[in-house]
Amino acid sequence: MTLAIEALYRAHFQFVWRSLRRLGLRDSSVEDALQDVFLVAHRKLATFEGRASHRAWLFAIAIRVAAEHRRRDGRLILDPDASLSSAHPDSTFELRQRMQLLDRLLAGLSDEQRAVFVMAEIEQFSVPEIAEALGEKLNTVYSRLRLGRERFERALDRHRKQLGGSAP
Amino acid sequence: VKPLDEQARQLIAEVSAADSPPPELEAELWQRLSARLHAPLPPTAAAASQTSAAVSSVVLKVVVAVLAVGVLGAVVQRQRSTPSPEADLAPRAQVQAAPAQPPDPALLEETQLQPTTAVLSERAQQPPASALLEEAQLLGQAQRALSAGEPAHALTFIARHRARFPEGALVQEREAARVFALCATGEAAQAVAAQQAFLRTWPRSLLADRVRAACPKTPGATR
Repeated sequence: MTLAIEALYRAHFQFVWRSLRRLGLRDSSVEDALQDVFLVAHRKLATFEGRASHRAWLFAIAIRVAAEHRRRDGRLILDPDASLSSAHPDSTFELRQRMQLLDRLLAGLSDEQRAVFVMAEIEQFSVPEIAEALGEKLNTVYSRLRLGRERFERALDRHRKQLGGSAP
Repeated sequence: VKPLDEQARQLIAEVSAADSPPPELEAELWQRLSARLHAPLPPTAAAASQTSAAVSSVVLKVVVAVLAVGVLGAVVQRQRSTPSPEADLAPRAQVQAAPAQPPDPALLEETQLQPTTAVLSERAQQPPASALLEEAQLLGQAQRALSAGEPAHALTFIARHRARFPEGALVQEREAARVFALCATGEAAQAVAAQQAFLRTWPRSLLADRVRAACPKTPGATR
């Protein structure tokens, strides 16, 4: 089974890393959580039913792992300043500002809205896929997505107005 | 649902395109993960598993058979060595040892995860241990026959599984085993048909690569 989990890891490493960052983890927390995600996946592979894709299945695991890491750390790791410290060293200042902004906007969503929003808007999952992976009803997912989009857009508008339209 | 507005989509696209892990991180984290995958269970976890010995003994057999079929491709078709079965069995047995029971101590202890309703309902939906055990026994017999170089004998167990559990929990493993067995018997046409049917039905299966490589010299076996 190590062969199977290694194949899964190689295929989805970047996706899981990116997802954990968008779910609010940073630096060593991302690295620890990423291992936890694949550790749990390894143990649950035998019960993977193939109804959702591996990506969707891994994302559902990542949500729980990220929540646990946030709880364990005793703080919301969606700290706007954290993006700057862990951004890729080659990132330009402007890009790092954009990352900081995105993470601040995501931090303004509830955990449920954020999970659905990241899956739909960043990872491009369909709503039925999200519903299947999260074990939620379609209407629930649509509702969270709608509310998440509205809140995200409002916060982005506020940010732009505050900076007089010259913001990133 | 109204789609996200343009400026929001642009922000997401810019960050997503640029935010990637450092190149060396993938290999580095795999090494750390690999060490954890093969680490022995902590003592408390071992004790917890002893308390459910009756269930565990049944489940362990299931896991052995499932794993046996899972590595079938490697055993039959590959020279690549497989990891120590004990390393995989212990945590897997923990996961399956409590079909409808709350907190799995070993799982929680190592990953610090709380059980969620999703996990619990997933467990509750699993087929009864007796049916799963019977399925796994049949496929275990098939695997043993294959390992012993008796693919035709393996096919009889696979056919029996197919008749008894047409929609069983281990259908994917069975059909993969069938491809391996047919390849080993030299039934090229049947092997390719089974191989293609498998890849059509489960293109993203974790067994897909092994099935694809099962009959490397047969036409149509490549991606």
